[in-house]
Amino acid sequence: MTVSFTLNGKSTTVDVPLGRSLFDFLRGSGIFSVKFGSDKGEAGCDTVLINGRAFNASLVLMHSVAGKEVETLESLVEDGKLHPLQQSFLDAGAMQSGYTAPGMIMSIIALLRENPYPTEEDIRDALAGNLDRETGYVKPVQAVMDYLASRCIELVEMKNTNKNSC
Amino acid sequence: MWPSIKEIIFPESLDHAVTLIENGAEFFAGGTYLVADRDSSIHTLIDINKLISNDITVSYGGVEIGAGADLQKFIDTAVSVNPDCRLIKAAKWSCSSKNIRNQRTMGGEIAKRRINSEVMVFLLVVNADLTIFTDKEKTISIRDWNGKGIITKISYYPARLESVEIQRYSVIPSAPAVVIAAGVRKGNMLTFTVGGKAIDFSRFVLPIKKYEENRLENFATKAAGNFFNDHYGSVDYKRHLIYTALKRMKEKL
Repeated sequence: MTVSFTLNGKSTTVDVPLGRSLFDFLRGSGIFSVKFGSDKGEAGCDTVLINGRAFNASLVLMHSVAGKEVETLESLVEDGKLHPLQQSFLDAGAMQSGYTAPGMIMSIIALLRENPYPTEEDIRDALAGNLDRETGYVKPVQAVMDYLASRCIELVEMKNTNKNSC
Repeated sequence: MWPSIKEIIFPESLDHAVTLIENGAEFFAGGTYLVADRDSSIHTLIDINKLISNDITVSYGGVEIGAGADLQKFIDTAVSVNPDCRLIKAAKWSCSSKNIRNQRTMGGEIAKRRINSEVMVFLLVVNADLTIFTDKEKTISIRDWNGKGIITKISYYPARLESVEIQRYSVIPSAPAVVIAAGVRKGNMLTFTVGGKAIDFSRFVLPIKKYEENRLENFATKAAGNFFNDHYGSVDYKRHLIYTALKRMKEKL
Protein backbone atom coordinates (compact mmCIF):
# COMPACT_ATOMS: atom_id res chain seq x y z
CA MET A 1 0.00 0.00 0.00
CA THR A 2 1.10 3.56 -0.63
CA VAL A 3 1.48 5.78 2.42
CA SER A 4 2.23 9.50 2.39
CA PHE A 5 3.42 11.24 5.52
CA THR A 6 6.03 13.67 6.78
CA LEU A 7 9.22 12.15 8.13
CA ASN A 8 11.56 14.48 10.02
CA GLY A 9 10.16 17.46 8.16
CA LYS A 10 10.30 15.91 4.69
CA SER A 11 7.25 14.83 2.68
CA THR A 12 7.58 11.11 2.12
CA THR A 13 5.57 8.70 0.00
CA VAL A 14 6.41 5.01 0.26
CA ASP A 15 5.06 1.73 -0.95
CA VAL A 16 5.01 -0.75 1.93
CA PRO A 17 3.60 -4.24 2.47
CA LEU A 18 0.40 -4.44 4.51
CA GLY A 19 1.10 -5.13 8.17
CA ARG A 20 4.49 -3.43 8.14
CA SER A 21 5.25 -1.58 11.35
CA LEU A 22 6.64 1.93 11.50
CA PHE A 23 9.62 0.47 13.38
CA ASP A 24 10.49 -1.90 10.52
CA PHE A 25 10.11 0.90 8.01
CA LEU A 26 12.32 3.34 9.93
CA ARG A 27 15.11 0.83 10.55
CA GLY A 28 14.90 -0.24 6.90
CA SER A 29 15.28 3.41 5.91
CA GLY A 30 18.50 3.85 7.86
CA ILE A 31 16.99 5.59 10.86
CA PHE A 32 18.94 3.75 13.53
CA SER A 33 18.07 5.86 16.58
CA VAL A 34 14.93 3.71 16.74
CA LYS A 35 15.91 0.53 18.59
CA PHE A 36 14.38 -2.89 18.96
CA GLY A 37 13.06 -3.46 22.47
CA SER A 38 10.81 -6.49 22.65
CA ASP A 39 8.57 -8.66 20.51
CA LYS A 40 5.60 -6.92 22.09
CA GLY A 41 6.98 -3.46 21.30
CA GLU A 42 6.57 -2.38 24.89
CA ALA A 43 10.10 -1.37 25.86
CA GLY A 44 9.98 2.21 24.58
CA CYS A 45 13.43 2.31 22.97
CA ASP A 46 11.54 2.63 19.68
CA THR A 47 9.89 5.90 20.79
CA VAL A 48 9.06 8.33 17.99
CA LEU A 49 6.77 11.33 17.86
CA ILE A 50 3.62 11.18 15.77
CA ASN A 51 1.93 14.55 15.49
CA GLY A 52 3.98 15.60 18.50
CA ARG A 53 2.97 12.75 20.83
CA ALA A 54 5.20 9.85 21.87
CA PHE A 55 4.45 6.40 20.47
CA ASN A 56 6.25 3.07 20.33
CA ALA A 57 7.04 2.61 16.62
CA SER A 58 6.80 -1.20 16.91
CA LEU A 59 3.13 -0.91 17.87
CA VAL A 60 2.23 1.41 14.98
CA LEU A 61 1.34 0.02 11.58
CA MET A 62 2.35 2.05 8.54
CA HIS A 63 -1.21 2.64 7.37
CA SER A 64 -1.86 4.51 10.63
CA VAL A 65 0.74 7.22 9.90
CA ALA A 66 -0.82 8.31 6.61
CA GLY A 67 -1.09 12.11 6.57
CA LYS A 68 0.75 12.45 9.88
CA GLU A 69 4.05 13.92 10.97
CA VAL A 70 6.65 11.46 12.26
CA GLU A 71 9.76 12.66 14.08
CA THR A 72 12.74 10.65 15.25
CA LEU A 73 15.84 11.61 17.22
CA GLU A 74 17.59 12.41 13.94
CA SER A 75 15.35 15.46 13.55
CA LEU A 76 16.81 17.05 16.69
CA VAL A 77 20.33 17.42 15.33
CA GLU A 78 20.89 20.74 13.54
CA ASP A 79 24.03 21.32 11.45
CA GLY A 80 25.69 18.39 13.17
CA LYS A 81 25.11 19.97 16.59
CA LEU A 82 23.39 17.99 19.30
CA HIS A 83 20.13 19.23 20.74
CA PRO A 84 20.76 20.74 24.21
CA LEU A 85 18.75 17.91 25.78
CA GLN A 86 21.00 15.33 24.09
CA GLN A 87 24.01 17.26 25.35
CA SER A 88 22.51 17.29 28.83
CA PHE A 89 22.17 13.48 28.74
CA LEU A 90 25.84 13.26 27.80
CA ASP A 91 26.96 15.74 30.44
CA ALA A 92 24.98 14.02 33.18
CA GLY A 93 26.34 10.60 32.23
CA ALA A 94 22.81 9.38 31.59
CA MET A 95 23.78 7.30 28.56
CA GLN A 96 25.36 4.02 29.75
CA SER A 97 25.29 1.95 26.53
CA GLY A 98 23.12 4.56 24.87
CA TYR A 99 20.62 1.97 23.66
CA THR A 100 17.61 3.41 25.44
CA ALA A 101 18.69 7.06 25.45
CA PRO A 102 17.12 8.01 22.05
CA GLY A 103 13.72 6.75 23.20
CA MET A 104 14.01 8.56 26.52
CA ILE A 105 15.00 11.80 24.84
CA MET A 106 12.05 11.60 22.43
CA SER A 107 9.66 10.91 25.32
CA ILE A 108 10.97 14.02 27.08
CA ILE A 109 10.74 16.13 23.91
CA ALA A 110 7.05 15.14 23.67
CA LEU A 111 6.54 16.01 27.34
CA LEU A 112 8.20 19.42 26.99
CA ARG A 113 6.00 20.30 24.04
CA GLU A 114 2.85 19.73 26.03
CA ASN A 115 4.26 21.00 29.33
CA PRO A 116 7.35 23.24 29.18
CA TYR A 117 7.65 23.29 32.98
CA PRO A 118 7.29 19.66 34.08
CA THR A 119 7.76 18.49 37.64
CA GLU A 120 9.99 15.54 38.51
CA GLU A 121 6.82 13.44 38.76
CA ASP A 122 5.85 14.46 35.20
CA ILE A 123 9.34 13.52 33.99
CA ARG A 124 9.19 10.13 35.67
CA ASP A 125 5.71 9.53 34.25
CA ALA A 126 6.93 10.39 30.74
CA LEU A 127 9.88 7.99 31.14
CA ALA A 128 7.85 5.16 32.68
CA GLY A 129 7.35 3.56 29.27
CA ASN A 130 11.08 3.58 28.50
CA LEU A 131 12.28 0.41 30.18
CA ASP A 132 15.85 0.78 31.27
CA ARG A 133 17.89 -1.19 33.77
CA GLU A 134 21.21 0.45 33.05
CA THR A 135 20.62 3.94 34.37
CA GLY A 136 17.95 3.27 36.98
CA TYR A 137 16.40 6.56 35.77
CA VAL A 138 18.40 8.58 38.30
CA LYS A 139 20.75 10.19 35.80
CA PRO A 140 18.22 10.59 32.96
CA VAL A 141 15.89 12.46 35.35
CA GLN A 142 18.87 14.52 36.51
CA ALA A 143 19.76 15.25 32.86
CA VAL A 144 16.27 16.57 32.19
CA MET A 145 16.30 18.68 35.36
CA ASP A 146 19.73 20.10 34.39
CA TYR A 147 18.41 20.88 30.91
CA LEU A 148 15.38 22.68 32.38
CA ALA A 149 17.61 24.62 34.77
CA SER A 150 19.97 25.69 31.99
CA ARG A 151 17.03 26.81 29.91
CA CYS A 152 15.77 28.93 32.79
CA ILE A 153 19.23 30.50 33.20
CA GLU A 154 19.28 31.24 29.47
CA LEU A 155 15.87 32.87 29.68
CA VAL A 156 16.95 35.05 32.62
CA GLU A 157 20.16 36.03 30.81
CA MET A 158 18.18 36.88 27.67
CA LYS A 159 15.86 39.04 29.73
CA ASN A 160 18.78 40.85 31.38
CA THR A 161 20.49 41.43 28.03
CA ASN A 162 17.34 42.95 26.60
CA LYS A 163 17.00 45.17 29.67
CA ASN A 164 20.56 46.47 29.25
CA SER A 165 20.07 47.19 25.59
CA CYS A 166 16.92 49.22 26.24
CA MET B 1 6.02 -6.89 10.48
CA TRP B 2 2.68 -8.65 10.75
CA PRO B 3 2.92 -10.97 7.74
CA SER B 4 -0.51 -12.55 7.96
CA ILE B 5 -2.26 -9.24 7.16
CA LYS B 6 -3.59 -9.43 3.61
CA GLU B 7 -6.12 -6.64 3.67
CA ILE B 8 -6.81 -3.39 5.53
CA ILE B 9 -10.29 -2.01 4.98
CA PHE B 10 -11.44 1.52 5.77
CA PRO B 11 -15.24 1.20 5.96
CA GLU B 12 -17.32 4.28 5.22
CA SER B 13 -19.77 3.79 8.05
CA LEU B 14 -20.41 1.67 11.14
CA ASP B 15 -23.19 -0.10 9.18
CA HIS B 16 -20.60 -1.08 6.60
CA ALA B 17 -18.01 -2.02 9.24
CA VAL B 18 -20.23 -4.54 11.04
CA THR B 19 -20.96 -6.37 7.79
CA LEU B 20 -17.23 -6.94 7.27
CA ILE B 21 -16.53 -8.86 10.45
CA GLU B 22 -15.83 -12.55 9.88
CA ASN B 23 -13.35 -15.21 10.97
CA GLY B 24 -9.86 -13.77 10.66
CA ALA B 25 -11.02 -10.16 10.57
CA GLU B 26 -10.70 -7.75 13.50
CA PHE B 27 -11.78 -4.20 14.17
CA PHE B 28 -8.73 -1.96 14.44
CA ALA B 29 -8.71 1.26 16.48
CA GLY B 30 -5.66 1.96 18.69
CA GLY B 31 -4.26 -1.45 17.84
CA THR B 32 -1.81 -1.80 20.72
CA TYR B 33 -3.06 -5.23 21.77
CA LEU B 34 -3.51 -6.48 18.20
CA VAL B 35 -0.13 -5.31 16.93
CA ALA B 36 1.67 -6.58 20.03
CA ASP B 37 0.11 -10.04 19.62
CA ARG B 38 0.48 -10.24 15.81
CA ASP B 39 -1.96 -13.15 15.77
CA SER B 40 -1.26 -15.13 12.59
CA SER B 41 -4.92 -16.17 12.26
CA ILE B 42 -5.89 -12.54 11.58
CA HIS B 43 -5.71 -11.61 7.88
CA THR B 44 -7.97 -8.55 7.68
CA LEU B 45 -8.01 -5.35 9.71
CA ILE B 46 -11.13 -3.21 9.65
CA ASP B 47 -9.86 0.26 10.54
CA ILE B 48 -12.63 2.08 12.39
CA ASN B 49 -10.57 5.01 13.67
CA LYS B 50 -12.45 7.56 11.58
CA LEU B 51 -15.85 6.15 12.54
CA ILE B 52 -15.73 6.35 16.33
CA SER B 53 -15.60 9.52 18.34
CA ASN B 54 -12.76 10.40 20.67
CA ASP B 55 -14.69 13.20 22.38
CA ILE B 56 -14.67 13.24 26.17
CA THR B 57 -17.05 15.05 28.50
CA VAL B 58 -16.17 15.00 32.18
CA SER B 59 -18.23 16.63 34.91
CA TYR B 60 -19.06 15.70 38.50
CA GLY B 61 -22.46 14.60 37.22
CA GLY B 62 -21.40 12.32 34.41
CA VAL B 63 -18.50 11.07 32.34
CA GLU B 64 -18.94 10.31 28.64
CA ILE B 65 -16.02 8.96 26.70
CA GLY B 66 -15.96 8.35 22.95
CA ALA B 67 -14.62 4.82 22.51
CA GLY B 68 -11.86 6.13 20.22
CA ALA B 69 -10.39 8.34 22.96
CA ASP B 70 -7.00 7.14 24.10
CA LEU B 71 -6.22 6.62 27.79
CA GLN B 72 -3.87 9.60 27.95
CA LYS B 73 -6.42 11.92 26.37
CA PHE B 74 -8.90 10.83 29.03
CA ILE B 75 -6.36 11.50 31.81
CA ASP B 76 -5.47 14.94 30.42
CA THR B 77 -9.13 15.92 30.05
CA ALA B 78 -10.35 14.55 33.37
CA VAL B 79 -7.51 15.88 35.49
CA SER B 80 -8.46 19.48 34.72
CA VAL B 81 -12.05 18.86 35.89
CA ASN B 82 -11.60 16.49 38.79
CA PRO B 83 -8.05 15.41 39.68
CA ASP B 84 -9.50 12.97 42.22
CA CYS B 85 -11.44 11.05 39.57
CA ARG B 86 -10.64 7.41 40.35
CA LEU B 87 -10.74 6.47 36.68
CA ILE B 88 -7.63 8.63 36.13
CA LYS B 89 -5.82 6.50 38.67
CA ALA B 90 -7.16 3.34 37.04
CA ALA B 91 -6.07 4.48 33.55
CA LYS B 92 -2.56 5.28 34.77
CA TRP B 93 -2.23 2.01 36.63
CA SER B 94 -3.68 0.06 33.74
CA CYS B 95 -0.81 1.11 31.53
CA SER B 96 2.24 2.73 33.08
CA SER B 97 3.74 3.64 29.69
CA LYS B 98 2.57 7.06 28.54
CA ASN B 99 3.60 6.12 24.98
CA ILE B 100 1.15 3.23 25.01
CA ARG B 101 -1.53 5.27 26.80
CA ASN B 102 -1.26 7.72 23.86
CA GLN B 103 -2.36 4.89 21.58
CA ARG B 104 -4.55 2.52 23.59
CA THR B 105 -8.23 3.44 23.27
CA MET B 106 -10.84 3.20 26.01
CA GLY B 107 -13.01 1.11 23.69
CA GLY B 108 -10.12 -1.27 23.04
CA GLU B 109 -9.48 -1.64 26.75
CA ILE B 110 -13.04 -2.89 27.20
CA ALA B 111 -13.11 -4.98 24.02
CA LYS B 112 -9.97 -6.79 25.17
CA ARG B 113 -11.72 -7.58 28.47
CA ARG B 114 -8.37 -7.93 30.21
CA ILE B 115 -9.00 -9.20 33.73
CA ASN B 116 -5.95 -7.40 35.12
CA SER B 117 -7.02 -4.06 33.70
CA GLU B 118 -7.76 -1.47 36.38
CA VAL B 119 -9.96 0.39 33.87
CA MET B 120 -12.12 -2.70 33.36
CA VAL B 121 -12.44 -3.40 37.09
CA PHE B 122 -13.39 0.23 37.69
CA LEU B 123 -15.97 0.38 34.89
CA LEU B 124 -17.48 -2.90 36.06
CA VAL B 125 -17.88 -1.76 39.64
CA VAL B 126 -19.52 1.54 38.66
CA ASN B 127 -21.67 -0.41 36.18
CA ALA B 128 -20.80 1.86 33.25
CA ASP B 129 -23.08 2.06 30.24
CA LEU B 130 -21.75 1.05 26.87
CA THR B 131 -23.19 2.35 23.63
CA ILE B 132 -22.81 -0.50 21.18
CA PHE B 133 -23.35 -0.53 17.44
CA THR B 134 -24.54 -3.84 16.06
CA ASP B 135 -27.11 -3.08 13.35
CA LYS B 136 -28.18 0.01 15.27
CA GLU B 137 -26.93 1.84 18.34
CA LYS B 138 -28.10 0.69 21.76
CA THR B 139 -26.99 1.32 25.32
CA ILE B 140 -26.41 -1.57 27.69
CA SER B 141 -24.66 -2.21 30.99
CA ILE B 142 -21.00 -3.15 30.65
CA ARG B 143 -21.85 -6.23 32.74
CA ASP B 144 -24.27 -7.43 30.04
CA TRP B 145 -22.08 -6.91 26.99
CA ASN B 146 -21.39 -10.15 25.13
CA GLY B 147 -18.46 -8.87 23.09
CA LYS B 148 -20.44 -8.41 19.88
CA GLY B 149 -20.59 -5.16 17.91
CA ILE B 150 -18.54 -1.97 18.05
CA ILE B 151 -18.29 0.06 21.27
CA THR B 152 -18.88 3.72 20.39
CA LYS B 153 -19.27 5.35 23.79
CA ILE B 154 -18.67 4.64 27.48
CA SER B 155 -20.56 6.57 30.15
CA TYR B 156 -20.99 6.50 33.90
CA TYR B 157 -22.50 8.85 36.43
CA PRO B 158 -20.44 9.57 39.57
CA ALA B 159 -23.29 11.75 40.91
CA ARG B 160 -25.44 8.63 41.32
CA LEU B 161 -22.78 7.02 43.52
CA GLU B 162 -21.87 8.06 47.02
CA SER B 163 -18.25 6.99 46.76
CA VAL B 164 -15.89 4.86 44.71
CA GLU B 165 -12.54 3.35 45.65
CA ILE B 166 -9.96 1.27 43.83
CA GLN B 167 -6.95 -0.62 45.19
CA ARG B 168 -4.28 -2.68 43.49
CA TYR B 169 -1.29 -4.77 44.42
CA SER B 170 1.65 -5.34 42.12
CA VAL B 171 5.27 -6.38 42.48
CA ILE B 172 6.44 -2.84 41.63
CA PRO B 173 4.19 0.16 40.89
CA SER B 174 4.73 0.09 37.12
CA ALA B 175 4.14 -3.68 36.78
CA PRO B 176 0.75 -5.18 35.92
CA ALA B 177 -1.36 -5.75 39.00
CA VAL B 178 -1.63 -9.13 40.68
CA VAL B 179 -4.83 -8.15 42.50
CA ILE B 180 -7.20 -5.27 41.69
CA ALA B 181 -10.27 -4.53 43.77
CA ALA B 182 -12.77 -1.71 43.37
CA GLY B 183 -15.75 -0.83 45.51
CA VAL B 184 -18.68 1.49 45.22
CA ARG B 185 -21.27 2.73 47.71
CA LYS B 186 -24.73 3.44 46.37
CA GLY B 187 -27.52 3.99 48.85
CA ASN B 188 -27.29 1.27 51.47
CA MET B 189 -25.38 -1.11 49.26
CA LEU B 190 -21.70 -1.76 48.80
CA THR B 191 -20.60 -3.44 45.57
CA PHE B 192 -17.11 -4.84 45.06
CA THR B 193 -15.43 -6.11 41.91
CA VAL B 194 -12.18 -8.05 42.00
CA GLY B 195 -9.83 -8.69 39.09
CA GLY B 196 -6.13 -9.24 38.55
CA LYS B 197 -4.03 -12.16 37.34
CA ALA B 198 -7.10 -14.38 37.46
CA ILE B 199 -9.40 -16.33 35.18
CA ASP B 200 -12.41 -14.07 35.69
CA PHE B 201 -13.79 -11.08 37.54
CA SER B 202 -15.74 -11.55 40.78
CA ARG B 203 -18.51 -9.29 42.03
CA PHE B 204 -20.13 -9.05 45.46
CA VAL B 205 -22.96 -6.98 46.80
CA LEU B 206 -23.23 -6.27 50.50
CA PRO B 207 -26.05 -4.39 52.24
CA ILE B 208 -24.35 -2.06 54.72
CA LYS B 209 -26.78 -3.03 57.48
CA LYS B 210 -25.74 -6.66 57.17
CA TYR B 211 -22.04 -5.90 57.33
CA GLU B 212 -19.97 -8.28 59.38
CA GLU B 213 -16.25 -8.74 59.03
CA ASN B 214 -16.53 -12.44 58.20
CA ARG B 215 -18.65 -11.59 55.13
CA LEU B 216 -15.69 -9.76 53.60
CA GLU B 217 -13.55 -12.77 54.43
CA ASN B 218 -16.05 -15.02 52.66
CA PHE B 219 -16.01 -12.70 49.62
CA ALA B 220 -12.22 -12.78 49.57
CA THR B 221 -12.23 -16.58 49.71
CA LYS B 222 -14.72 -16.82 46.84
CA ALA B 223 -12.81 -14.25 44.73
CA ALA B 224 -9.54 -16.11 45.38
CA GLY B 225 -11.16 -19.10 43.66
CA ASN B 226 -10.53 -17.29 40.36
CA PHE B 227 -6.81 -17.00 41.07
CA PHE B 228 -4.09 -19.60 40.74
CA ASN B 229 -0.68 -20.36 42.22
CA ASP B 230 2.10 -18.73 40.23
CA HIS B 231 5.41 -16.96 40.75
CA TYR B 232 3.56 -13.95 42.19
CA GLY B 233 2.35 -16.05 45.07
CA SER B 234 -0.02 -18.72 46.26
CA VAL B 235 -3.81 -18.51 46.05
CA ASP B 236 -3.85 -18.09 49.82
CA TYR B 237 -1.50 -15.12 49.59
CA LYS B 238 -3.78 -13.54 46.98
CA ARG B 239 -6.85 -14.25 49.13
CA HIS B 240 -5.10 -12.29 51.86
CA LEU B 241 -4.41 -9.38 49.46
CA ILE B 242 -8.04 -9.36 48.33
CA TYR B 243 -9.27 -9.37 51.92
CA THR B 244 -6.92 -6.51 52.83
CA ALA B 245 -8.13 -4.50 49.82
CA LEU B 246 -11.80 -5.12 50.63
CA LYS B 247 -11.32 -4.17 54.26
CA ARG B 248 -9.46 -0.95 53.39
CA MET B 249 -12.10 0.00 50.84
CA LYS B 250 -14.93 -0.77 53.22
CA GLU B 251 -13.41 1.74 55.68
CA LYS B 252 -13.09 4.43 53.00
CA LEU B 253 -16.50 3.85 51.43
